[in-house]
Amino acid sequence: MARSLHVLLVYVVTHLGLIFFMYPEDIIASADEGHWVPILTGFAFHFAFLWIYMKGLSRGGGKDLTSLYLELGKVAAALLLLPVFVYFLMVNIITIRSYSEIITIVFLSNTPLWAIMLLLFLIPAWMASLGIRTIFRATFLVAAVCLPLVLFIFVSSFQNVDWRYVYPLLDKHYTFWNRISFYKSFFAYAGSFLFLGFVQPYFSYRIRTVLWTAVGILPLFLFSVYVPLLTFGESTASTFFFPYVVTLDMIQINWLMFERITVFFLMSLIIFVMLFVSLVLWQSSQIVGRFWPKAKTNWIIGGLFVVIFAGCLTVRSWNEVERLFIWNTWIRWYVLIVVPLTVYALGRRAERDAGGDRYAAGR
Amino acid sequence: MRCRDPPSVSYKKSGQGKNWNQITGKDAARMESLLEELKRKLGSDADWYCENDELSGEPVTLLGLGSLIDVFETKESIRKYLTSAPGRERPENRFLGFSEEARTAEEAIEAILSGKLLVFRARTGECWIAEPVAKPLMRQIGTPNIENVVPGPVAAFTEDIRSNIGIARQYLQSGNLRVEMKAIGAAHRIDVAVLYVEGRADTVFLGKLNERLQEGKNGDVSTLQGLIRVLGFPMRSIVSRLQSTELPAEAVGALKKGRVVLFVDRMPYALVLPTQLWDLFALESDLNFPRPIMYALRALRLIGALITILLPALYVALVAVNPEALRIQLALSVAQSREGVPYPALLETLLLLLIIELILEGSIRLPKSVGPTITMVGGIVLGQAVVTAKLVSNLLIIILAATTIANSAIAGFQNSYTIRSLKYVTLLLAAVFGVLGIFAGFLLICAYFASQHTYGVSYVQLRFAKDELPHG
Repeated sequence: MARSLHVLLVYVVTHLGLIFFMYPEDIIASADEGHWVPILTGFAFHFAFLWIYMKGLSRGGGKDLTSLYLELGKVAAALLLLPVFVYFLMVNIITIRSYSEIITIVFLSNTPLWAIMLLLFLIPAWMASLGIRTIFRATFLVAAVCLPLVLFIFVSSFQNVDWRYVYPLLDKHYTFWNRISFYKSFFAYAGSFLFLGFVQPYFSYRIRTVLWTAVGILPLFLFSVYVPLLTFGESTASTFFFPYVVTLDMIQINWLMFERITVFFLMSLIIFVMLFVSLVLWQSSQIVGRFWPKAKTNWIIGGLFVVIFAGCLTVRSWNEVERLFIWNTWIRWYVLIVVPLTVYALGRRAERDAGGDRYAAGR
Repeated sequence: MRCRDPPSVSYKKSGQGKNWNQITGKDAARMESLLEELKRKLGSDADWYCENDELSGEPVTLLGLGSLIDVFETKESIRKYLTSAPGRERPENRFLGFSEEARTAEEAIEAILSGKLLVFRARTGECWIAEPVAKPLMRQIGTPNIENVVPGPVAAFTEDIRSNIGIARQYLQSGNLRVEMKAIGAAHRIDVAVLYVEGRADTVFLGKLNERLQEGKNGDVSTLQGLIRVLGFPMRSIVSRLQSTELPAEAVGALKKGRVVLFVDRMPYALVLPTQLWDLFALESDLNFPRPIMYALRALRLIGALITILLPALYVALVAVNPEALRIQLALSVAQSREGVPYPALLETLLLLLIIELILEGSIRLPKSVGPTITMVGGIVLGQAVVTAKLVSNLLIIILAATTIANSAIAGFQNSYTIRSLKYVTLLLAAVFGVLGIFAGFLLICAYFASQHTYGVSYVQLRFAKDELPHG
């Protein structure tokens, strides 16, 4: 635990930020009953590729993602990394835009959207310019205060649950394969795990601990979907925009002086999302920095800030966010599948080369 | 100014060396020029002391500053030493037991200014530095003024660097305690002592510190700002890189943990570095309590820091931006308490905060005999008058009183200044973005703390986490 603390915290915190908003809606839309099947399918998928990705990285000998690709030569690396870079940009645009929308809907209806987006992006950009160590340490401090709060509210969200809504446990048709919502739900997995390939020179982690942590947050994936389902029933829950947030609004805690504890839950998650945005921004700046070593990191981040913020401003409505989401699906598959597989192959190659060198040196 | 001479012997006469047959022309010239230089620099000062005398049969000239030296006692003790000294034969490089010699005018002036007595040996033209009996210009070792200790030793550091080192030695009787002394300053020298426990302190860190002290050896370290500039820390950071403490127990506790302690002459406290966020909540004297009480105390300080940062901001956010987050009864009573207050919540809070900051500052400035007045006036203004006049809501008074009290629970007065100023970040953000602003401000503060470091040692270092890699 102590040997992977920062990485684990970042892994948990960034996933928490992504799980509770769009994910329940997508899963509920993807199946009519037996929702645990799509959830577990998605998770098993994530788990397998997470393992492959980390295995490849560890075989590569503690090198980061960009260095591994650069061993293929600059052009090949650029071609392979371009989708990842574009994905990072799009993830930032989508995240900032959609979370600002959520904030507007839930509690800041009078504040202009651009102001919220600016706040949501300016702080992460500043953090990204301070470097990965700052992001990780800040994650620790924030998590120390906000994580207990989030877990407390998560537990109290079971208040109105009717367990009979669990049934039917099995779906007779399994049509979730055909629905786009199921594929959209992979946003919650695909966003953050790539950071494991960027932190190696700064922080260490153990593969097994990370995998156990992934298993540890599986209940959060499950219950983010099941709490609304168990509270409202499938047919009502499927009509909501953000089912989990609506469920939270129903909670009554008599001894608390606050009427809407949703606000504090959402706020904590939005802080987590800001950490996620700064992490992704830092990763994209790392990629640019490797291909353009002369540029200063702050200038790169400044440039990316302008591009991404302009992107956020051009997205006018929620429909456009959804469309971006669907476009993004293809690159997401690239990130989820191709990147771990290529990293694994490159890691094996690097290991073989290193082994060959050792052999030669031994003779 | 002429030197006082013993009866019937004039300085000029003795300076020309008429009676001293052994003196060579070269030595006499050297001595003459050194004396001239000293007289030109210091001779016009009222406390300049210069006397021709005779020690064990040799004519000498005594020089020094009468304000720093107890002349009578010094002469007395030298005479006593001479009469009791066994045998007259002395090694060549010593004179009357003095082993240090000033060779240039600069060295001589420096020695005089640091309170030494110069003894000119007229026969050879040598200038010896003697340790005189000093005038008692120092405060006794007393109780601390800024920090209070409930359980634990109550001695405090004083202005004198040597006493401070001595106190540290007494508290940490270890052969591994190293003391390195450096004189820093171009115009006037100030001694800086670096203390650390060998084997505990990080050698890389010490190397960087020594390098910095070497580079900045002409800087002015009479203030903390000057010292921070010499040590190369960022001047604009509000996180203090030097944790000051006047309690020897705290300083020694830090030394044992492998940290470095700096003493600066004329500063009555130890400066501990590197600083850590945890210093805000943990004190060495906590260890004198039972363990559960210790944790409770530290938790209290943590809550104090959180309240200071969050509570005023929460008031502004809940009143001005997100009243719906409160339970309806509470929201109504808050609204009722603000009835008739003519300006927005942010302005109200800022005004009252300004008054509280002024009271805090004023009570430091005022002499102790007038101090209670300001407490009383402040109490009346804050407690009664502003509410009756409907200038601020009484809920705000409660909140700001809680904030001020909570703020003073933080360990270390410099740290409490840091937290005190950081609350405005959340306050301003909360006024614009409501509860979101509070959380964003909190993230901002966390990130700011996380970005601070002392020579590569992070402000938010976790001792139990072992995952950080040195590269990068």
